[in-house]
Amino acid sequence: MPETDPIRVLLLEDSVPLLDRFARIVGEWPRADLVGACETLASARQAIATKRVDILVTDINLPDGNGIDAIRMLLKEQPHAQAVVVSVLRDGPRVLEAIKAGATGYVLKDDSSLGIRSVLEIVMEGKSPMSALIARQIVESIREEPADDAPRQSVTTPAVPNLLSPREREVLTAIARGFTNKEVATLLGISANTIPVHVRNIYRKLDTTNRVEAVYEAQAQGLIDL
Amino acid sequence: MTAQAESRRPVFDRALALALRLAAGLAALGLSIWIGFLPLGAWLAPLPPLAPVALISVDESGSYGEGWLAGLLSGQRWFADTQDETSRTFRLTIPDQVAPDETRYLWVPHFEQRLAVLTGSGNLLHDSIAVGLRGGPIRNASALVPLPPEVIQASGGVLLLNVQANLNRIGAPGPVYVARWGDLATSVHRLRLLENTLRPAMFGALLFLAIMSVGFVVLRGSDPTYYWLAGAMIPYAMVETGLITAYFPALAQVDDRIFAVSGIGSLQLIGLLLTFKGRVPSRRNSVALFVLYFVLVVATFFMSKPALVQVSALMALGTALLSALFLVFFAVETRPERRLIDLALTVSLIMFIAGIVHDLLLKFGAHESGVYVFRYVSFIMLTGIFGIVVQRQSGIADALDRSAERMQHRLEEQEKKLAEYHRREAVALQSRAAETERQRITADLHDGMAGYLATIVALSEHDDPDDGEISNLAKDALNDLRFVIDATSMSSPELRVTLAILRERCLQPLDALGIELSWSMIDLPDDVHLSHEGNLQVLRILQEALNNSVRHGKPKTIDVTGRAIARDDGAPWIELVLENRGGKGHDPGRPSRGFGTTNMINRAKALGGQFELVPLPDGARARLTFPAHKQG
Repeated sequence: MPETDPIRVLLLEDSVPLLDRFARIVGEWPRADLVGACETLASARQAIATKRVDILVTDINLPDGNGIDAIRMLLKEQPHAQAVVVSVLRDGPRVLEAIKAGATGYVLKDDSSLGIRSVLEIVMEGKSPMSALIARQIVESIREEPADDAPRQSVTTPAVPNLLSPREREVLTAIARGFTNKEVATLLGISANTIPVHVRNIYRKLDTTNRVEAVYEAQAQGLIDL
Repeated sequence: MTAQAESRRPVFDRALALALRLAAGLAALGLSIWIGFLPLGAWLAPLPPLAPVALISVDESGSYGEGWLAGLLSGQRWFADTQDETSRTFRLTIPDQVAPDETRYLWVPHFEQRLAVLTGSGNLLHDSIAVGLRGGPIRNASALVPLPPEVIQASGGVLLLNVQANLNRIGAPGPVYVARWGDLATSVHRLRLLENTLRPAMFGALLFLAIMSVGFVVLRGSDPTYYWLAGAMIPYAMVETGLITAYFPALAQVDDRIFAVSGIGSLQLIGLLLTFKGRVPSRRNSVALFVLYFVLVVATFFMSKPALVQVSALMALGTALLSALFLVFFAVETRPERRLIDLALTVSLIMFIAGIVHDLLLKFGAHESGVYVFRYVSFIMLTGIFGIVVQRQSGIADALDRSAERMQHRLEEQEKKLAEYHRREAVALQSRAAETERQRITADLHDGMAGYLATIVALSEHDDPDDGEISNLAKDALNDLRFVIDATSMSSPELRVTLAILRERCLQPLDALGIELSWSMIDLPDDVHLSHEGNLQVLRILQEALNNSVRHGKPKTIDVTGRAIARDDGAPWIELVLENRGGKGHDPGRPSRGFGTTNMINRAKALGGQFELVPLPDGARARLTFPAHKQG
């Protein structure tokens, strides 16, 4: 996407004051174009179906459903779009679930406007932030996957450890141990700017795992024919 | 009655009871000897009721007279006193009145060693060696020789009975009969039933019981009873190996010797009977006797024949004597609670001793009958004893089974109780854990967010509320809530991860304020783990130090570093330093609205460490040190 094109932002948040705050932050951001500010999943679905969206900023708990469903629908309808989840707390499992559904970033509800803009810009640049807590959650979820030598039910469901490159695994492990991006870069002898790119790839691969599983399930049930 | 008389009574009663039992024992002994003197063999295999028919003379080579015998040869039993005298021939003349018009039979119910029957002209009619091999000192046999009329006529009614004996052995035929078959049939059939059918069967049974006894020893070696049982069974079974010497002639070489020392088996039997009396002899004694048995068998190979016979006689006499003594002891020791078995054993012992006495008398010609009865009575006794042992052990096994069932039942009850106890304990533990967690979260919220919220309420009710202050406090409250939740979500994370939570939280706000944050925990050692409370204390101290730096120092840069330090005593400690520069210097005398520094010092003490604030020209340095493992 050229730098000059506005970033089309869709907001989904059931708390009106917070929705207003996010809308104000996006409205005051010259690069962004607010395509919708939805309070419900239904209205967000309608917006996704009718409007082009570059980035969806969504709460997880909604009165009529789950923000993760909105992420899935968006990525299905508009595969090039990005999704960022909003959380009042750093609720690791929920944020991880959203990341597995395709989100590539997250913001806190009380983040400053600069902070929110910063996350959105990073995501749009093809990078992603990752906290130590989220990294730990990912590492733990990977550990729960079957080991390489364990029998698998399906050959079409690759485990995450196999998807991640050795470098990505090193980055993930170092972040999970609490090192800063700069420290990770020093430890691994790479540029600090590449760390968020690795993180983004890790997020994408987590999503990929889910997608492969979904394709396999769909194929198994005869919904699709490959 | 005086007290002295009363005290005497039990002694008197005991003495009377002992005397009565002793008398009973001696009576039983007397009974057994008396029975032994009876011609039991004649009762088992009665002799034909015939009148004396033959004239027996002594051997041809010596001087002998002729005369009628009264049916037995008691006067003719003899020992071979010299090496040359190992054979005697008796002449038998069949009177004319028994002159045959049909086949007669010569019936010798009992002889020892070797018997040959010849006609008067020297033609061999019968040789016991050719009929069957019977060796050994009491290896007696019987002979039935058909005498067709032509043979009697050709020999002139004269038959020669040649009896061979080894040195120092008794060589003796018993009564000798010449009669029609009908007159002999009962006697012949009964004797052969005993000798040819029952004896091999008994031998087989004894062998089986001996093998079973050895099996018991192998399977249950801890019980001495089985040692004594096997110790008795083996020699008694071995004695009868003479039965198969016809098939294995080599056995004839050891048969005599095994018999000679078989008295050891009787000692083992007495040991076995003692176990029934509750006086269990050590199994070592049984093993020692068993070893002695085999040593004696080997030793007999180095003995002369006369010595061997003397050993045999001594063993037989010794066995009789010991059995007699034991019988008396057995009667004295008899206990009322085991009356039936004791009675059966007493009768068996009487028969046992009677059998020995009978056979010794038979050996020396005191009885007419040629049937040795000891082997039959001892077999009955051994079988009975074996049955008692098996019954006793079955009783023990039953008792063990019942005991095991009771134990199992108890175990199940205890398991149920234990399971119930564990369930209650688990519930209590869960409840306690929940209570502890509740108290901890309450304390965490009270120490942090509740304080912030109370201040927010107070400020908002102020006539002129400072919105910026309220906003800051609300953010602090939210931050503290996140600290509590993050610290709760991790049971015991590395210190570096805990610090990363703070770093990620303050990164954006500081960036927004234009303050450069330099964060380095690369020198922090790995694997430093603090408790939940420890984590929260560290986070709160650093958060407070950061807040103070930003609010009061207005810095341009904030450096946060962590590293391991060693104190003088060598204990590993952690040092965290937060240094703000490029702003206002810290004024220790500045009036403070709150208790920030005091709180930080107190929290550091709770960590077991120290907190100090050092003023710098353009800022301040906050330094927190604490032990690396104390909180772990």
